[in-house]
Amino acid sequence: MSNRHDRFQELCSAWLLGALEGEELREFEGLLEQADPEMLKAFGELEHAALHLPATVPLQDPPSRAKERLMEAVRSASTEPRQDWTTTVAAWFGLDRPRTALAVTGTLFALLVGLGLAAVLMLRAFEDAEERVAVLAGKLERGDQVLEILQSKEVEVVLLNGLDASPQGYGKLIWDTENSVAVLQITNLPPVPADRRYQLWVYADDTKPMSAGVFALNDPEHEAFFHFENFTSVEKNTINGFLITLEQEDGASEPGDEWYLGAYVSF
Amino acid sequence: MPGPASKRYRDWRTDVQARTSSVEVELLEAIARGSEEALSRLYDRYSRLVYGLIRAILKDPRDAEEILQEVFLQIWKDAGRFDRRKGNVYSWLVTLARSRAIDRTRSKNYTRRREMETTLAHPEDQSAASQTSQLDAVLMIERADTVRGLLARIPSEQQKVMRLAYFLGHTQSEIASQLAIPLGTVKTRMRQGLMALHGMLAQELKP
Repeated sequence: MSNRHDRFQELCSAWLLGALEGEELREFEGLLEQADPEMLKAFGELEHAALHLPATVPLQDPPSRAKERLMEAVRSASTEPRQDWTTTVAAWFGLDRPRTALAVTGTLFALLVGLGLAAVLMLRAFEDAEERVAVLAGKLERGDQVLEILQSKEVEVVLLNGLDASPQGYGKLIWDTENSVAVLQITNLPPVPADRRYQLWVYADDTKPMSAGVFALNDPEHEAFFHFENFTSVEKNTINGFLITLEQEDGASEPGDEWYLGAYVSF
Repeated sequence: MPGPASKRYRDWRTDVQARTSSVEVELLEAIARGSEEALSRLYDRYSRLVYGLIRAILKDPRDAEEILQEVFLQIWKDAGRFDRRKGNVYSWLVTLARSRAIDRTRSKNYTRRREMETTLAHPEDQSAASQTSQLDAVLMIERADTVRGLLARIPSEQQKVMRLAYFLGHTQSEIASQLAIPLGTVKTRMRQGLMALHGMLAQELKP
């Protein structure tokens, strides 16, 4: 490896970690502009490694209100500013000068906004409190179930990815293999029609898929938790996958073609 | 019937990887067209990963929530500028999140702001080499345990300089000063650490 390539790799590593500054930063940017294929390959490889660093920190659920605030901000950002409105307001109030109209409107608007805001805030405070109590109660119950499972000596956690029928869905199966109990948490799956159910399947070596149970989902706006007793008779070490499909109300004897979530596993 | 030995089943993982990357690009294209639903879906897909990264940098949950919102608002505003040939959604999001979180720590403790972090936050400036990185949220969540395990196998002194740089935003000089080691040693450890991680990833994650 030439000195130039060697130097490029050294600067590249620091740059990807965000630690480069001053003269060396400019030197690296110059090298990158003139990079040959070997340098670009090295860049791609080191960048690929650096991009995995976020995966080394635990996933964390943002506060539940964060998404609501984001969507409100998005809607505000989308609102177009009004054009030449002072003239229109001046006409409403029979005023000749837009500046006077601006002052009058501003005062009225401030009063209205103040009163409206106070009312809305009070109403929201009550609604938020009610909602929080309900959410906390649900979380407490789910938390107890998960905690109970996590206290077991043998726990497996399986992450399920969205598949054809629901690519944006995902799920998590927490399985107490010692006591054959499991909790399934799913997010972003559509609600099921009245005459159908989701069905969880266990795939194992050299056997046909085994059903682990059926469940309905009627509230797609929230994460859903399902508790499974006597979770699967299949020998753990032979299991190589989990699948969630949409089936008839009583469940099916084998998986159909509507695949929602799945995971490939090796215990 | 999709049996365990079927080709569909064997190729499942590969299909999922390809499809999820494609889904994310489609979401971004929909966001660029003004779809709030697409933004909502992207948020559901990424918020835990992005928030986890931000919290690793910012300890104050209020600051972290604010940065999370800023990141997704920027996605909302700049989705039309995203060029799938120059990068992927995952790299854009984590780079943006890290950059903004580090900036926040600096706004409290420092007065300067590095150009590098600003330029990295824009999708059009990402290197053409990024197109080789097929990464997305689902894959990264799936890989998290593996990557943590791999990082743990890297010598601790190398891990330390990588973490100080990536998660705390320290420059090479600051790390040298903090650890009381020569600047050249910091550079060597960064390079060796990242190369070691790349080598192990290549071994562990090959299809």
